[in-house]
Amino acid sequence: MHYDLIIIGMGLSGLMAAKTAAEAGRKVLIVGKGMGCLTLFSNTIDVLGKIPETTRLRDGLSQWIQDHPEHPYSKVGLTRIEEGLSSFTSLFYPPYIFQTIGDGNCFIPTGAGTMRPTYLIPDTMVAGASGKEKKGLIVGFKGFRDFYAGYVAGPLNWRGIALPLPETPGQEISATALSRWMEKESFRKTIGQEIKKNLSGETCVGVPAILGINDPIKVKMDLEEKIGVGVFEIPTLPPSIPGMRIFNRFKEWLIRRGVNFLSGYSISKASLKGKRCEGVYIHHPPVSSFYSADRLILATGRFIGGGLVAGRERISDPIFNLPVRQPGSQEEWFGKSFFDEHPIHRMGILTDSSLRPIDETGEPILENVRVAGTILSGHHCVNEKSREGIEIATGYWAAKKAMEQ
Amino acid sequence: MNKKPWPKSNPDVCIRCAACMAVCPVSRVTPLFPGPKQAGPGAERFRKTEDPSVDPWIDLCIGCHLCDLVCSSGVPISELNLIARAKYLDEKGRPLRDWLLTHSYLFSGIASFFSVITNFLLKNRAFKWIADAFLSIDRRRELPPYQSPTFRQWFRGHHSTGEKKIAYFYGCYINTNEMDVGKATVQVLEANNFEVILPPQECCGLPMLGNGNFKGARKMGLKNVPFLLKTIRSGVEIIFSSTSCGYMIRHDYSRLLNIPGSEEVAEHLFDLFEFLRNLRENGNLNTHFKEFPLKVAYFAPCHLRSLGIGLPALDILRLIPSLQIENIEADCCGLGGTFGFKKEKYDISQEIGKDLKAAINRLNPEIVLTDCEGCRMQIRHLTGLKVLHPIQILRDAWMR
Ligand code: SF4
Ligand code: SF4
Repeated sequence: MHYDLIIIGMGLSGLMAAKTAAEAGRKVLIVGKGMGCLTLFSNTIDVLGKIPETTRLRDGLSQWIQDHPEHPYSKVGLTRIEEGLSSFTSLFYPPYIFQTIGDGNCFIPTGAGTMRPTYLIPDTMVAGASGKEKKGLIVGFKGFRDFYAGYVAGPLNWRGIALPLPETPGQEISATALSRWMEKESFRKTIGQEIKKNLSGETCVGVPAILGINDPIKVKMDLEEKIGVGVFEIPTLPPSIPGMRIFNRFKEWLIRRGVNFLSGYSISKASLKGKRCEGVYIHHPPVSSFYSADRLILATGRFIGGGLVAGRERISDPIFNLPVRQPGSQEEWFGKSFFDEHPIHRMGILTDSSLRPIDETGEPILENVRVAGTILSGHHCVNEKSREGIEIATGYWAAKKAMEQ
Repeated sequence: MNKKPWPKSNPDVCIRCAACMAVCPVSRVTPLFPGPKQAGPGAERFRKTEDPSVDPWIDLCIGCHLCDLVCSSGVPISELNLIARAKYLDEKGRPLRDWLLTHSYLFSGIASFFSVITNFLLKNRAFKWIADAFLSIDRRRELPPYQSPTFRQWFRGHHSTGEKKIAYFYGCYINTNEMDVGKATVQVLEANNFEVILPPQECCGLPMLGNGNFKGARKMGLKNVPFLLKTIRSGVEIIFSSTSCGYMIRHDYSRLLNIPGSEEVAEHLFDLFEFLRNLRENGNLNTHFKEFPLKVAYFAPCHLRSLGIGLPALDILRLIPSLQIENIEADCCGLGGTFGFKKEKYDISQEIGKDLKAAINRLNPEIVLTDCEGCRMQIRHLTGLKVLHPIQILRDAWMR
């Protein structure tokens, strides 16, 4: 099969690239080894959590761009970052939408009891945003081991309780199972009553982010009615249900637009001819199928999804073997302690301003290939709290540039 | 069992990211099954071939492959589960019921011949009660009725003509229970100028493999592959209309069952709609469709998803003018081949199905389409709607 654009990688950057190209009417194939990291890291959309608390995001970003010319944000530019973000939010329709609180970062409680800065949050988290001033009750569930109410409540000086689950005493329960139960009216009734009984003057209730997969707003509103105060979600350990909602929404939209959506398969080989990539082989033992394309986008992420692999001496990308910025020899990859800065986090693929891969001299290596997402060099998304922002902005921009070609 | 009964997979590449936990249909509906992360790579680290199996919950994995499709680390989770299940069931022993459910190919010929009697029995409440009480086949399930003539018998009296030849692996269920799907396949291929031939074939063996019977499944594969090899070596490619049979032959025959010649067969074996989509890509698909104003919803079976070819039926059906077609946003239907017939698993199967039913209700279609016979049975059971194979609609869009 032949495509206008093949996107390799099914994380947020790949999905954004696919959306951008499909919106322009192109024939698109998106292929991923797995479902990407949305269920691993993402609950909300971080853009640049690092900037001072009161700074407007726009100002913070433009200063950042000036100070970090090698950063992916600097390649994309402020206007395009904003375009990308609004393209992302446009995918969600009421009642489940993403929004900002004011024009800068807001702070939401985490599963570890800290308040963390982030930019776009789903409607289910709004009541907990910048919630330090409020007095809340955190509710966990016995048997759901990915969330401890006490952890969250302690540092906030709130109260935390763990409710027993009806029907399954003593059993362990997963986030997806709990989300599904939440979608049942009878379950909400029992839980709602229990929570109400336990309130003593609190004005909001925080629960793990498991308020249903398909219609979380309905679940939230119904619970609020039963309890009598506002309810909000707090991110948990993976799998992230809010991340899954994002993935599902993209998937649904892309399939409706006729995008070929192949999850579960890895690229065994890229077919290169001079400075062009002609297509890729997808291997599903014992069959190997060739898909050709005019342009391709590499959005395979860093180490977790296998976008980058570390050998003894060097780090490389297994598909195109593009040059990866390497901070010296292996001894220099890691800091001394876990919480130190680890240079390995800054490794990534070198590109020009249109996100084409380049060599050390700045020469483009493959003319019809662009690179998007966290596999890019020049950022430290964990420290910067910029993961989703980088993915959205570069996914969007890579597809735009690819289509200009 | 022979000395090395099960292939070996490596669980150690699991990074515990829990993506698989986000999609498993079984652990979503019951806490009795710990989910792919624990059941697959987690427990595998403690399993030893010489030690007895300790986790009876392993038998609850429905084998949908959905976990495999989301794992970025390439852990063959469902395969680990299948192998562990096979070992567990070998040790525990299988009830007669499992034998009956997986060997229906042996008696389906007779059942079709006496279809009037068999169908009466299959619908009979007393018969269902007996099946439930003595065989643990859940009485709430409808047992699929048999048809006479079979597809193969119909084909014998049919004269297929066309410029090029194509071989058809139709599978047991189409032959004895849903022969119109086979007929529609033949008609569509002929409308595209293909002469259809039916190579000799037996049950692909998937029901046995799904029940952890590697030996029985391998036997079926060893029978089928030589027939299929002969076909492709004479220059004729093969298509299948059942995504389960197709997945079994294309992937499980070589990877899990190690059947000689199966790699060669896999290269020349195509899903029916994948084949039609290729024709279209080369400009050779007959696209003279009539207006077909109908509201349908399409469901992608698990085995189609794991074929890794996208949703070719959806791609092709979208070409039919005024056919309103939506993709159903749900995962596994819950039937899992023979899983949902078993009394002890019926409730789990129905719980999984409820989510699919809700997704179908949101779309409110007149007809539901899906490529797998198991999914068709389950969706009929769940919704009472008319459920067809997409090829039947495609045929009707031409012939009306
Ligand atoms: S998705 Fe794969 S790597 Fe992640 S927990 Fe499941 S098996 Fe392990
Ligand atoms: S194969 Fe299906 S049922 Fe079994 S563990 Fe994987 S996702 Fe769950």
